[in-house]
Amino acid sequence: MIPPEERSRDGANANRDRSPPDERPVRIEVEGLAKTYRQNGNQVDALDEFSLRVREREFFCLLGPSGCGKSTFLRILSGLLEKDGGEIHLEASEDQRPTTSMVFQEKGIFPWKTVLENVAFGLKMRDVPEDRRHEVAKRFIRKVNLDGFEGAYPHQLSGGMKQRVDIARAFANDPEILLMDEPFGDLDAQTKRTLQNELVTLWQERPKTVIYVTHDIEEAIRLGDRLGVMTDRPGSIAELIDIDLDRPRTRENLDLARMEALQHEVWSILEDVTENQEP
Amino acid sequence: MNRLPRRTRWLLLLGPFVAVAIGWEGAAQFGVIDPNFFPPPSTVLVLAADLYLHGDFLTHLLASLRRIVLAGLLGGTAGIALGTVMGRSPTVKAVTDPHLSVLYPLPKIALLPVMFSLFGVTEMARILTMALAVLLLVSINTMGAVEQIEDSYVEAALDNGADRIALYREVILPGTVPQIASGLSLGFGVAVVLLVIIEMVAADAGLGYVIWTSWQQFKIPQLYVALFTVNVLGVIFVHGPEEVGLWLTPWRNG
Repeated sequence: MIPPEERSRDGANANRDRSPPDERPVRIEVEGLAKTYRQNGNQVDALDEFSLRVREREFFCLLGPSGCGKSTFLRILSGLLEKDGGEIHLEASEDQRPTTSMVFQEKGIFPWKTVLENVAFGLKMRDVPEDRRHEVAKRFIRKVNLDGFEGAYPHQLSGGMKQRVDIARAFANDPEILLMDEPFGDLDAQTKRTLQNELVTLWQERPKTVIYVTHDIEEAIRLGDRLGVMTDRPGSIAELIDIDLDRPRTRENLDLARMEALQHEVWSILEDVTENQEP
Repeated sequence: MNRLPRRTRWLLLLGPFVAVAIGWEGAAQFGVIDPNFFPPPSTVLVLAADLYLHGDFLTHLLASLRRIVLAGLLGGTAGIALGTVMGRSPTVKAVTDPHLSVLYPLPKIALLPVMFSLFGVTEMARILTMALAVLLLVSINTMGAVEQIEDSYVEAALDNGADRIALYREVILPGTVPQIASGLSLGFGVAVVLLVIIEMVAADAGLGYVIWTSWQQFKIPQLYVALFTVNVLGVIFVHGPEEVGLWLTPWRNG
């Protein structure tokens, strides 16, 4: 494993590299992906003809009606599910970093492990020595503002704090690609906003390719470089939208008029998508 | 719920025991109850000291202890292993579950002659009979617990690179400790019953053996010494696993 110090220097370089996203190399290439479930003897097509290209260090938000196969897509990318058809190409680097790491909506961290053990878990699975992995874990616990909670168990934490632990674990793993499955879906609006800001800060500090699944339009626009709207089941990409809002998207800096326009655009696409699918 | 102060809790816990002992002592001393059948606690205590220090009670206690510990170890380990595999593999469950369901309501003591036929009239047969009871309760509890483990925990473990062994060590086992502990607790409860019955009918040592022979020889105080010893064993083996389970799971609420 490359020590994170060295990589953070790379990260800083990468961050200064202001090359527009469409000039960066393609990191994720998905072509004609298909997935079918068996449910009570019926075949359910979760994904069909799903194609997508995501570039290096792009923050890509995937938006769609519930049950459209967003999570299925993440699970196929992560290797938790097998695809039934199509091609996936993930550009992996030569070193020991994992290709993907997932942040779950809820119940992603283990109740029987402390915050420190949870954050260090992925490193433990890759046989990083204990003192080394605890050092890395502690650094990321600080980064998600949980210092002092290293020894706490999840039942002692609030929902927002648990999601911070999950995010810290994913960043401690230092994957090429970060997969996020509605990580803030169960949080109240205020906490959600705080965590979104923290996530973007962390991501800008350590740029990664991110696929962020959500059904919250505002969230997708607030976070993403680009946004993909999915069709109803069987899911595929209905439309891609560039989010041309400058970062940092703070309250003072955010072009609210443009944001509203984007929201309307997404709304109308979503309406088309769901209407087309009505029987 | 309001928690009582520490001293009050101890008083409420021990007070009734002391009261019963004093009442019993007095009733026996003043002839309210027949001391031949219900010897006063003082007599029993003095006799207990004598039997353990100078008599053969230690031998009997050790014989019983050995049986229950071995049965618990055998049945417990096999039960945890079987229950875990059943919880993870629908195929294994489909094969084994009907057999467990049929065996479960059968009083295991009825199998003692079968065990004797299989293994001879040996310690092995006695211990296996008890172990079977432990195995059934532990495996059924473990299976339920494994099935209840959230899919998301398994996914999180796999996503973080856990292999099969790590999955069991880091997720399945820790996630099932509470139910394994209560399975062991239930299992030991049945095992103590079996222990006493087996020793009464088919052994020549052990506390159950002492209880029955004391009754037949009308050595009532000696019967009570054995009875209280069994009671202490029961408390340790039934509540012990739950206490150990709590100690192993500091991550639970409360």
